[in-house]
Amino acid sequence: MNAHRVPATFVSFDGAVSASGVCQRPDRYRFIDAPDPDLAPRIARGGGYSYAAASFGAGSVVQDMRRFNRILGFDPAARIIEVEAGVTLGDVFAVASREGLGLPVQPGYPAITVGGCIAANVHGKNPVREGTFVDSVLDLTLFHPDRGVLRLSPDTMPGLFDLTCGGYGLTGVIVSATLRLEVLPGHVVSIRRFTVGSPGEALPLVRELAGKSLFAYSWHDGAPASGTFGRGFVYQGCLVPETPARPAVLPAYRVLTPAARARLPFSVWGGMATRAFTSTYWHAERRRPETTETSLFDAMFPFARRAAYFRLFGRPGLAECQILIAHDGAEAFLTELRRLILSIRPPSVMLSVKAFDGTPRLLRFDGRGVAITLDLGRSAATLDLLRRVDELTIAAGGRPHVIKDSRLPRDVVAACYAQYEAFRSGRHQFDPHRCYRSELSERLGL
Amino acid sequence: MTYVIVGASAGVGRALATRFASAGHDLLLVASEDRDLRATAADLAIRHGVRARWMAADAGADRMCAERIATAADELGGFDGVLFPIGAVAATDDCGFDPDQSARLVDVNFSAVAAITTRLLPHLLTRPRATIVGFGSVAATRGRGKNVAYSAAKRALASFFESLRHACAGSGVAVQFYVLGYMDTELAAGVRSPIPKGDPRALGDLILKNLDRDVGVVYYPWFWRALSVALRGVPWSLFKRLRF
Repeated sequence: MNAHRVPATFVSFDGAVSASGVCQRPDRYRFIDAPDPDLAPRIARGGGYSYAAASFGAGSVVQDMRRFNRILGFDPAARIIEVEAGVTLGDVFAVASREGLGLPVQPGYPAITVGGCIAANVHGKNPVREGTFVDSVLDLTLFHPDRGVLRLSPDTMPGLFDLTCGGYGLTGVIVSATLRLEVLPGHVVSIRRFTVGSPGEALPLVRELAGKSLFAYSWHDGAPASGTFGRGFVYQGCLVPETPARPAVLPAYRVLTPAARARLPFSVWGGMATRAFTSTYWHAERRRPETTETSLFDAMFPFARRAAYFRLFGRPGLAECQILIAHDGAEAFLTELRRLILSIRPPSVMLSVKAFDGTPRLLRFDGRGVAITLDLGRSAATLDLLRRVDELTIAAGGRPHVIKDSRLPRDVVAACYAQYEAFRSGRHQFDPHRCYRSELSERLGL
Repeated sequence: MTYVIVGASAGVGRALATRFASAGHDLLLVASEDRDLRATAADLAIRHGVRARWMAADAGADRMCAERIATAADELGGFDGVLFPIGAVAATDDCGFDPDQSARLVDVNFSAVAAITTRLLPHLLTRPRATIVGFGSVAATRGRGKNVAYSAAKRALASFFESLRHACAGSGVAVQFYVLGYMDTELAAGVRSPIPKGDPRALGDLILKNLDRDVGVVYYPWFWRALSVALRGVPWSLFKRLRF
């Protein structure tokens, strides 16, 4: 017997891709690994926070894994936690922080699931210090209908482990994982702010601070106005040591779903509204003390209680592009990006920079350099800009983040990821029937 | 306090286990699927710091189930209540009257609950306060051509709990019977109805609030009480034409 299939409509978090299909919400193991006579393609889904349509589409049965949300083991002394794939980062935070521990890599929203983090190999606020999510995965359990239940780790079936971490759910359903935790000697984060005139000015500061901080990233005014574009701040976060670990009650926040994000029928961002907001933010930040303290939860999950930012993009949706550029090409890239934005004048809102220090592999967003992130409202000008950014990225030898951009064309990904073909052939070798498919896998020809 | 939950691996049972553990109660979880039980027990112990034991048993088939539960519960140092969110339905439970299937549905939905309750009642009567919670279904409001054996078993269970409540009146044992409408669980995932589904977590809150109280029969969601009265009032000449 398999889980019921019910009709459902899915939408990507950026609001650009939607599809109707059927959804299963398995709540017991036999619904995951029982033989399924139906050979329809399928794809697993977690919180649904991917900007790209990685967890639905292509006529696939969506397997919503959020009921697989149990913590299976926790060993504070060994600093490891074993969780089912539907456990959220907030769940892990609530349990681990009681013992002064935490996941090294934390994307900014607590309702994101561990399965999603593995499938997209997400990064946190400081990839220089902490790497990407795969670096925290000690082992994982994968189910594939033709292969059964498989236990993978960097030592056991390492090739398949590599394909699965950052494999966008295309090798099977991630059922559970054992994760490495790190010591967090405090629950208060001191945040120091540095004012900068441009993203280029932020680059050396971000590079310098990343190696010696909990996090270091920048925020820049993205409104397309030549006088103010790019001004901003670099934020350096450091744990305040010896603040005693306390029982962490997860602060209340209203979970934002992709459908709820798009409830507003119009986008607030664009033109004067963006300029007014970014200018107000910039002035307000400058009036605050240079160093402030915040809770670890708010520092790790800044969007938990600032979800309004995403809601204001409304039904038209948002677009985000995130490009990893080698250090020596970053400044030139930023200069050209500024020129493009000021000439095309899309409804861009903000720009951000953070440093990376990893090794590129398959389709993972990793490498050595800086990640440049641009948030925009969705419009014809935005799509025009993003096409130009694609060309710029290829020319600069950069790498766009597949999970952040729902329109990224196959040829751009193939040109930017040297191991695109290796991923594709590895995936086909493991799963010749391509049991797992999504809009993303079809768009990128995977 | 310590509670036994029979049928704890998924759906309403798992939601109740989570809510009771979050209130600090130790638990003995019983269900047929050991992988899910093990995972749920581990999760509750880690998140809430309670003792969560588990016992895999097919209550509808294992004749020694009641005895095994009693032994396991004794090992916990006694218990203060037992909840029965156990149930089974079958898509083919219509008027085909497959005798094996019908017997199985009656065993799971009624006989097992009655047997376990009977075995555990003497212990509960020794406690200063205790609670027994059974679960019926609005599907048993009137007999239909669907869920035939299931509805019959749930009606038998309602009668059993009515008798049990009467027998325990004046003791410290509160006997409660919750009649559930469509719940937002896998069991009702295929049900397409304009009537809103109940939230298992909110049901857990309600049961926790009502512990040890003589609340008798409670409908959840609450509006099902009125709907059930209305359904009972539909004349046969009209009812026989309804297809639901």
